[in-house]
Amino acid sequence: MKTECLLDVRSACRRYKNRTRSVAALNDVSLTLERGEILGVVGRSGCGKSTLLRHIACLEKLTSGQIRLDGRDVTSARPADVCRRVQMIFQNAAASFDPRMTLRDSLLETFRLLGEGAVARERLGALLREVGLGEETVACYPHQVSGGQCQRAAIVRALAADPPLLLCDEITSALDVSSQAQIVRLIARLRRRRNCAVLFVSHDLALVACLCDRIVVMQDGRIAEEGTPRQIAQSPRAECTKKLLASVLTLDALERRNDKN
Amino acid sequence: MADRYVSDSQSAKAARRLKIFLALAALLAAVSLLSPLLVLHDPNQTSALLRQAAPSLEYPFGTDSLGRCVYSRVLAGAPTSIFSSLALVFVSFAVGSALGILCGYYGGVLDSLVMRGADVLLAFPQMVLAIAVTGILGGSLLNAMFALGLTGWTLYARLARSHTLALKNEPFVAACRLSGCSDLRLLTRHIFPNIAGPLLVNATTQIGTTMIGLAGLSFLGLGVTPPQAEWGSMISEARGALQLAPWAALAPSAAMIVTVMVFNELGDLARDWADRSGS
Amino acid sequence: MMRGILSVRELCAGYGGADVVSQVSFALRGGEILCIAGESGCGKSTLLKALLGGGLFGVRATAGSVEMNGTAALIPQDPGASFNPIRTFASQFRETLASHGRPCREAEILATFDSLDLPQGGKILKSRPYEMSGGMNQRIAIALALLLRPRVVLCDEVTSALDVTSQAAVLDELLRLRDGSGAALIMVTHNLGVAAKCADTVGIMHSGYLVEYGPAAEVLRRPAHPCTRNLIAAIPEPGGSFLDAQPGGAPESYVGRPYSTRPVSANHWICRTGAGS
Repeated sequence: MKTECLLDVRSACRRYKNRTRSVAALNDVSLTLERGEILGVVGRSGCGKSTLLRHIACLEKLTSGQIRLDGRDVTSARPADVCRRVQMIFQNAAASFDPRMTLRDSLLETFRLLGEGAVARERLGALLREVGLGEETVACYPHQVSGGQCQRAAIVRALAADPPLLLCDEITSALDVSSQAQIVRLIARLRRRRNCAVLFVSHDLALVACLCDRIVVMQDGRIAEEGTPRQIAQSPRAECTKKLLASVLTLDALERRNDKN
Repeated sequence: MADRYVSDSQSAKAARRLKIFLALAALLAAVSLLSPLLVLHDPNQTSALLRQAAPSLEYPFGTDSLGRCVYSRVLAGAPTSIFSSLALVFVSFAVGSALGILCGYYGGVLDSLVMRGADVLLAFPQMVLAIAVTGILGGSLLNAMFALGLTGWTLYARLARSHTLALKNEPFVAACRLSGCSDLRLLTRHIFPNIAGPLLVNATTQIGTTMIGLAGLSFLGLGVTPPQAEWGSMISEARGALQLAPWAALAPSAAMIVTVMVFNELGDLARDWADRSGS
Repeated sequence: MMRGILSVRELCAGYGGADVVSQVSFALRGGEILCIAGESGCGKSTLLKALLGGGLFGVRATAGSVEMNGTAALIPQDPGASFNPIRTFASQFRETLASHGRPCREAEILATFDSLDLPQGGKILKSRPYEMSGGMNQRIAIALALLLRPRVVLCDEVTSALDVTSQAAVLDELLRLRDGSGAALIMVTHNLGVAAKCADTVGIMHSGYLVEYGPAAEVLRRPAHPCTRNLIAAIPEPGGSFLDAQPGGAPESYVGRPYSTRPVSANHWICRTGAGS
C-alpha cells in the first residue's frame, strides 16, 4: 500500500485582485514532499515562493486548488489547527519575535500555547542545547542579539511543536555568510536527528544545492523546473534556471576569470 | 541615523525635564485630591458683606460677586476640572483604541462602518457638536463629558487602526498565529502593548485640550450646574465684574493656564521620550 | 603602470568611543579592485566611511593617515537610504552634481543609464525612488556615483540586500565601470564569492584589524589566516563537504596589540595580534 506523502499541493492558485487588474501570485503549483525529505524552492524575488509557504502554513487561503498535509485536507484550515504539523521560520528573525518580550518569554509562551506549560522549562533547555544557544542569549530582547542567534531561537520555537514539516522562508538571506553556513548545517543536523521534512526557500542556488535532496525552480508563480541538484546543475532546461546558475558566486569564479583572461 | 548621535547630556537633560513635569502633574493631581483639606473657607459659603473683596490675608484671591472665597473655589474646582478631563480621556482612549485595533486587524464591514462613522462625527467642528448635544440633553457635567467624548474617541481609533495595520504584517504576528495563539490573546498581549506608546502620548497631549473643552462648555453654561465650582463657569460668572473685581476671573484663569501648560508640556516630553527610546 | 591613487597608513577610526578600525594599512592603484571581507561587526563599513573623511556618518579617524589622489564616492548598502524617496531623481541628481561642482548634462546622464542597462532613462529621471525596486535603485545609485567621476569608488555591501540575479548584474556593472573609467574600487562584503568574481586584491578584516592581505588568487586558494579559512569554509560548494564541516570558532587570540605582519609571499601578508605574536 502506498503511504500518502507528507505534503501534497495540488494545482494551487492564488489571485490577488486590486482595482485595475488581478495578479496570479500562484499559478497551478503542484508538488509533493515525503517525510524526512528536504525540498529546495528557488527563484527570483517575487516569483511566489514565500507566498507558497504562507499558504501551506494556512496563513492565507488559496483561490483554488488543494493542500493535503499528513493525509488531511488543510486547504481551509486555520494556523492553530495545523500548528502541530507544520511550523515556519521567517527571513527577518528579529521581527519574528514580539519586540517587547525577551526571547525566553516568547519561547515559554509558545510552550504554554501548545499546552505544555508544565514541562516548558525542561523542554526549552533541551531544545536550546540542541541548537547551541546559551541561557544568557535567550534572556535578551530580539534586537539585542545577532541575526544568527535570533534565527536559532526561531528554530527552537518551531521545534517546540515537534512538527514533521518545517517551512524555511529565506532564513539565511539576512545573515552574513558565516552565520548562513551555521544555520544551514543546523537544519541538516535536525533533519538527520528528527527525520523532519523541510521546505527550504531561498534565492541562493548554491546553498540550496548543498542542502536539499530535490530542487524546484519557480518563476512568476509557476513551477519552471524540478529535479535533483545534480540534474539542475548539469542539465538545466528553463531560462530562469540557467540565469540562476550563472549568478551563483563560488570560488570557481576565480578560475573562470583566469580562463577568460 | 542622526538620532543615534544624540549626546548623552542632551538625553539626560530631556529625561530630567520629563521627570520634573511628571512631578508637577502629580503635584496638581495631589492638590486636587487633597483640596477639601486645603480650602480656607467653605467654597459655597456666600456672604453679602464680603462681596468682591480684594485679596487679603484671609482671602488670598479675594471674593467673587457672591462673597465666596475665590481661593477655596479654585481649589474646589480643581478636582472637577482635572479628574473629569482625566476620566474622559481615559474612556475615549479605551473605547477608541479597542475599536481601532479591531478595525485594523479584521478590516471588512466593521472597519468600514466604524471609520465612516468617525468621518461623519469629525465633519462637525468638535465644540459646535458638543454645544448642540448638551443643548439637547441639558447642561450637566456628565452630559458635557459625553458630548466631548462623542468625537474624542476617533483620534485613538484612527491611530490604533493604522498602527495595527502596519503591525499585522510583521512576522511575529504570523508566528504567534502559528503557535496556536487565539485572536483575543494576540490582540491584547501582543498588538496592544506594541502600539500603546504613541496612543498614550496622544492621550497625555489630549488632557489639556479636554480640560479647555470642558471649561468652555461650562463657560457657556452647558457644563456644571451652579453652585458647583469649576474653573470655566467661574470665569464666566466673573466676566461681568472684570473691572471691579478682576481677581475673581484672573485666579481661575491662571489655574487653568498653569494646569493645561503642565499637561501639554508633559505630552510633548512624553512624545520626545517615546521617539528617542523607540529608535 | 598605474599610479598610486590611495594610500592608507596605520589608520585607526571610530564613532567617538573605542576604535572600530585599528592600524589598517594598504595602498591602491588606479583600476585596481580591492575586496575587503569579514564577518558582521569587523569594522569594514566603518573603514569605508573613514576613507571618505570629513567625519561623515559620525566616523572620525583617531590616528594614521589617508592620502587620496582624487575624489571618492560611496555607494551605501541600502539603496533606498541614498535617495530621498519622494523627490524625483532628476532634482536629486542635479543637487548632488552641483554640490560636487560637476556639470549636470542630461545627455551624459542618459548615456550613463544606458551603459548600466537602465532602460528609458528619461522616464527614470522623472520618477521617484519609492516607485522603483531595490535593484533599480541600487543601479541608479551607481549611475550617480559614476557621474561624479570619482577616482575611487567605495561600495559598502552593495550586493547583500539583493537576490542573486540582481547581485550578479550589479557586480558586472561595477566591473564595466572599472574597465571604462579606470577608477579604483574598494568593495566591502561578507561573501568571498564576490571577491572571487571581481577582486584583484583581497583584504580580510577581523575585530577592526586587517588580518590578511594579498592578491585574490593567493588569498582565496592558499589562505594563511584562520579567519580567512573560516570565511572560505562558509561558501557553499555543492558536492563538497560543506554540510559536514565543523564550525570554526572565532580565533579570539587574534585581537588586540601588539601587532605585527608576517609575509606569506611577495605582496601577501597576514597579521598576528595579541599575545603570541
